[in-house]
Amino acid sequence: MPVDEASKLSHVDEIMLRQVLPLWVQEGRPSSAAFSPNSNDEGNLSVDRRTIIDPKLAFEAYLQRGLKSGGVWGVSVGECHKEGLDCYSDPLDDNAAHALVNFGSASRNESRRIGGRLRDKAHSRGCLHPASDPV
Amino acid sequence: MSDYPEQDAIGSQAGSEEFIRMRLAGGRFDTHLVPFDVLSDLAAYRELVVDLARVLFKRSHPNRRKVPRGFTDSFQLGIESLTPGNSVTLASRTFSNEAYAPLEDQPSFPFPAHTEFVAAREMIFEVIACANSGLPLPEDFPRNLASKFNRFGRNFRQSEFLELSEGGRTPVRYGGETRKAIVLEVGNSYEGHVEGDFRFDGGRCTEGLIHLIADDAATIDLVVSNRDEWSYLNSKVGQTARITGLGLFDRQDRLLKITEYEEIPFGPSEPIASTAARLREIEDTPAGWYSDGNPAPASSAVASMRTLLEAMESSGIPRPYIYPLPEGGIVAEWSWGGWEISATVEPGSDAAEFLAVNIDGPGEVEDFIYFNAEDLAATALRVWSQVNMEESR
Repeated sequence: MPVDEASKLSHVDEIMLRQVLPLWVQEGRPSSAAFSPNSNDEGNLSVDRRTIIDPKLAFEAYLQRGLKSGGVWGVSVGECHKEGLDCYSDPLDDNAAHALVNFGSASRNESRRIGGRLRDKAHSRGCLHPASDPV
Repeated sequence: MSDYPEQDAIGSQAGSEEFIRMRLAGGRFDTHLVPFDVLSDLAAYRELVVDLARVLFKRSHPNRRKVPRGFTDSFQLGIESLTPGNSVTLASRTFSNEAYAPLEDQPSFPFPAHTEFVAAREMIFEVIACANSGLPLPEDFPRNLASKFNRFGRNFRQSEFLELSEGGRTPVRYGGETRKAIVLEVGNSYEGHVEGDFRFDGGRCTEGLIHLIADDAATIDLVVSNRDEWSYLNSKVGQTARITGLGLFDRQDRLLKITEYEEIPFGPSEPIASTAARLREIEDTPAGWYSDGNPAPASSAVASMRTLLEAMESSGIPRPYIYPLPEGGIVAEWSWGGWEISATVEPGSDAAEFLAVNIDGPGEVEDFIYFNAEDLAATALRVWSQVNMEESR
C-alpha cells in the first residue's frame, strides 16, 4: 500500500470519489460513517480518483466487482488537507484509479469528527452518480 | 428633417400631466395596501409604453432607422397620487432642459413631446379590450411586443387586477387572464406567480437546474443562477420546502419552470420516513451487509436507540437520519444549523455517545446519554442544548 511521498496527491481540486453503501444512504443523505475508515480499513479510506475515472464508470466498475453502492459522492484533496489528511494514489490490478485517504493515527472519535465534516462537504457537492449529473 | 414636433407644443412639456389611472383591486389590494413588488409592474407598464412608442415612431418615420436621441428619456412616468381605494394616478412628464441637464454630446434643446407615447397608451387600451372580449389582438399591434405583457402584472396574485382608465374612457380590466390571453396570442407559455410546496429531487449542474416534485407529482425545474446556490439546493435532496417566486406556465396553466424565487426557507433537515420505520428496516438487515462476516445490527442496540429517539422526539429534537454500523451498532445523525451531530449506540452499551462537530469552526460537544437516566428526555435535551450553548459562544 504505497502511502509514501511519491504517491501523494497534491492537486487540491482533485475529487476523490467515494462509493457509499446503500444502507448508508437515507433519502439521499449519506452517513458520516461512509467518510471515515472502519476498524478493518487500517486507517485508510478507499476512494477513486476522478481525474482517472468518472463517477458513472467508477460506480459501474464497483458493481461489477460484486460490491454494493448506493451512489458516488466526492471530497476534494484540498478538503482532506484541511482536516490534516493526505491522499495517495494506490492503483490496484483491477482499478487503476484507486487511491487512499490516510487518516494516520487519528483516534476513533477524531475520525468520526473528520468523517462528519467530510460528509458535509460531499453532501453539499451532491451525489455525483446516479442521483444527478456530474458537477 | 427635424426630430422634434411643432415648437408650440414644447411650452406645455414642462410639468406633468395625467397619463393614466390604475385602480388596484382584489387580493392584497383590498386590504388597502400596495405591496412594493407591484411597483415593478408599474415600471413594466412604462417600458411597454416606451417600446410600443418606439415602434410607432419608426412606422411614422419610415426613412429613419432609429428613434431620435433622448426619445426614451423624454417620457417619464411616475406615481402622482395614490388615493383611498388604491387608485393610482400615473403622470407623464417630459423634461425641459432646465429640469434635466443635457448630456455632453447632446444639443441643449428641450426634449420634445412625442405623440407616440399617447398613441401607445391608446393601443394598449385596445389590446387589453380585445383580449378581454376574446378577440384577436389589433392587427397593427406589433406581435413581438406581446411577450412584454409578461412583466406587466406578473407580481399579481390570482384574484388581483387593475382597472385602467384615462379621461372619460370606460375603465378596462387587466388581470391574470387578460395578460395570459395577450401573451399566448404569440407564444406557448406565460409568466405568473408561483407559491407552493415542492420536494427537491437532485439536479443538473451543467444546466443550472434543480429538479422539483410538486404535490401532484408533476416534475418542475428550478432555474438557479450560480453554482454555489446550485450545490446548496442540490444537497437538499428529499426535503420539501415552500417556494415563492415567478414561473413559466403553459396554455393549460401547468407550471413548467420556476424562473425566479425568493429565499427558500428550509426547516430543520429531517427525513420523511418515521424513526420507527427506519429502525425496523435496520433491524431487518442481515449479517454480512457490510462485508463477509460482519454482524447484523444488534437487537439491543436497535432497542436502546429506539428508546433514546422516542425520548428525544418527545423533547422536540428533530428526527435524525439513522444508519447501521459494521460492528453491530447503530448511529443517529443530524445536520443541524452548521453542525454535524451523531448519537452512536454500540451493542451492549449502556449509553449513547453524543458527538457534535461544527462544520466550519473549532466548536464541538462530546457527551454520553445513559439509557437508565431517571428522565431520559430531559437528559437528552440537556446534552443537545450544549450545542446551542457552544454555538452562542
